Amino acid sequence: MNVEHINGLKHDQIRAWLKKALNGQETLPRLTPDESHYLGILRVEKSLDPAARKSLWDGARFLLRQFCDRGEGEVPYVQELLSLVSTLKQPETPGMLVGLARQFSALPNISLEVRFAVLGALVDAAPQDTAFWLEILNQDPAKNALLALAGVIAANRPYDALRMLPQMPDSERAGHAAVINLEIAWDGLLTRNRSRFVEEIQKILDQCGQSFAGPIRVWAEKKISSRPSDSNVSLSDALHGALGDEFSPKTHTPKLCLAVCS
Amino acid sequence: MSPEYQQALASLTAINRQAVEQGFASWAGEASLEQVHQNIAGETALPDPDFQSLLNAFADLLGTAGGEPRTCWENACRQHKLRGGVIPPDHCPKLLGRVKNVEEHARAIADASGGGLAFSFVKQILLNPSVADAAAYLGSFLYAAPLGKYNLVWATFDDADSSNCPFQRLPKTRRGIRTALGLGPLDAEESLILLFWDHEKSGSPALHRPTVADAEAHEYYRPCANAAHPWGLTQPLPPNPDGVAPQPEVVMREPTSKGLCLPFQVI
Repeated sequence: MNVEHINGLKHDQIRAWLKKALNGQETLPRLTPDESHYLGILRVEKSLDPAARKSLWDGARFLLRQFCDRGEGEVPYVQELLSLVSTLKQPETPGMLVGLARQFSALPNISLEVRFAVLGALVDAAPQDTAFWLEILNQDPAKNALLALAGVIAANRPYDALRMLPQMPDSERAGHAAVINLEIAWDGLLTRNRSRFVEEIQKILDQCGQSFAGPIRVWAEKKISSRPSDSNVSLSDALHGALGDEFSPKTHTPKLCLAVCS
Repeated sequence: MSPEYQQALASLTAINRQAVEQGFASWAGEASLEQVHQNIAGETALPDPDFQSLLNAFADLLGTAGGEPRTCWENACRQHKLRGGVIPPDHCPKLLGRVKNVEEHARAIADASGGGLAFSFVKQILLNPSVADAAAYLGSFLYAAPLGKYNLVWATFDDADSSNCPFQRLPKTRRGIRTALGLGPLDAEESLILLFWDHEKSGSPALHRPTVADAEAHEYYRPCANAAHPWGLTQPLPPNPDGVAPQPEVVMREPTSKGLCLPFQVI
């Protein structure tokens, strides 16, 4: 189905098209044959005329509300829908997802994949306060802990995140995931505040399970030993200095680069 | 039309042949599906019984399900995956590679982490060298993330020396890579991740020559005209200013990511 055809559809027809597209039942512009449907939908969305685009956004919101009412849906469809809405970043999205996430305990049949997809979308879509993420953590510490940690970091509350570390699952894998989260938090701090952050982490590690703490301890020691000169203040640091350490939620700006993983 | 397609079509009953031809005729006017029809008509890699079976399945689904032809075609294809010729194990390439949207792979890593990682954080690490200290810790999650989706992976390799990184001889830009591998559209703000892996360490799944059934309704697949060729070949996208040659193309069941080679490249 080409863009001109979608532009000619009525409001409800576009919603029906969107649902079919999320289920992989529409022709979409794909980079590769196995690409997720929502990426093709986003490419189509950019080419639509304003009225059709508005209908598509309304349709996405309708489908999200439908899903959030009961938390039901096939896992692949829900993952596609949540990927789409977390990219579109409509203002109503976080509220609907928060409402559903708070009901997880009352929805025993909701799959773990769907639960993770909802929490992941909340981390990505809009920052929530620490109290919300602590509520999610306490719902199921073994399963929700690391996404709750990520949620607090995404809301740019690195010291709140640090205080959550003793509640993380005691496994090396969880420690590796926590390092990735802490690195993101560290990266968002003023250069001059990074050492103190790492030192605070080191202090709290004694309260954590040792399997979990191991990778973080290694990471923290590396950070301390490779500490740069505090005199090299960047423009970003200066802005942070003027506006405060937790002045805004994190935004993630893709950079075209060679990512070297060693 | 390829002789293989003509033969498969001729083997159908009159009713099924009519259904197939009507199904394809209904795609007229939609450029992407017209291209898919051309690909089917030009296919040479499907053995005769499989080509006949594919077209019969399409006709049956059109008749019994009364469904939309594109959906019927895709469902027929899903019953006929990995039917192209197999590269003998002792001739398999050592290194295979594929290209993904970086967002797609970041989601695969986050999903495979089982609630350990948020997509946006993974994407940030894949894209941003300033958080490279964390990249070492990403390793265990990288090796758990699938290389493809839907249990089927398309890959390329260097047919002059398959122990080379498959991307070594290809252009270094997103446009150049897309051209060489004949990939679909990409918006200006999207980035690509170039993944390559050791075939043996990833479980050595059988490598098949791709067919229209593997491609389903993906319009950018092109059948290789030489029926005897051991693997498929991409058709570089026009205008192909660098004159890049068609690249080898195979499909396989989802391998493990255990043989993934680092570093990977993001462009």
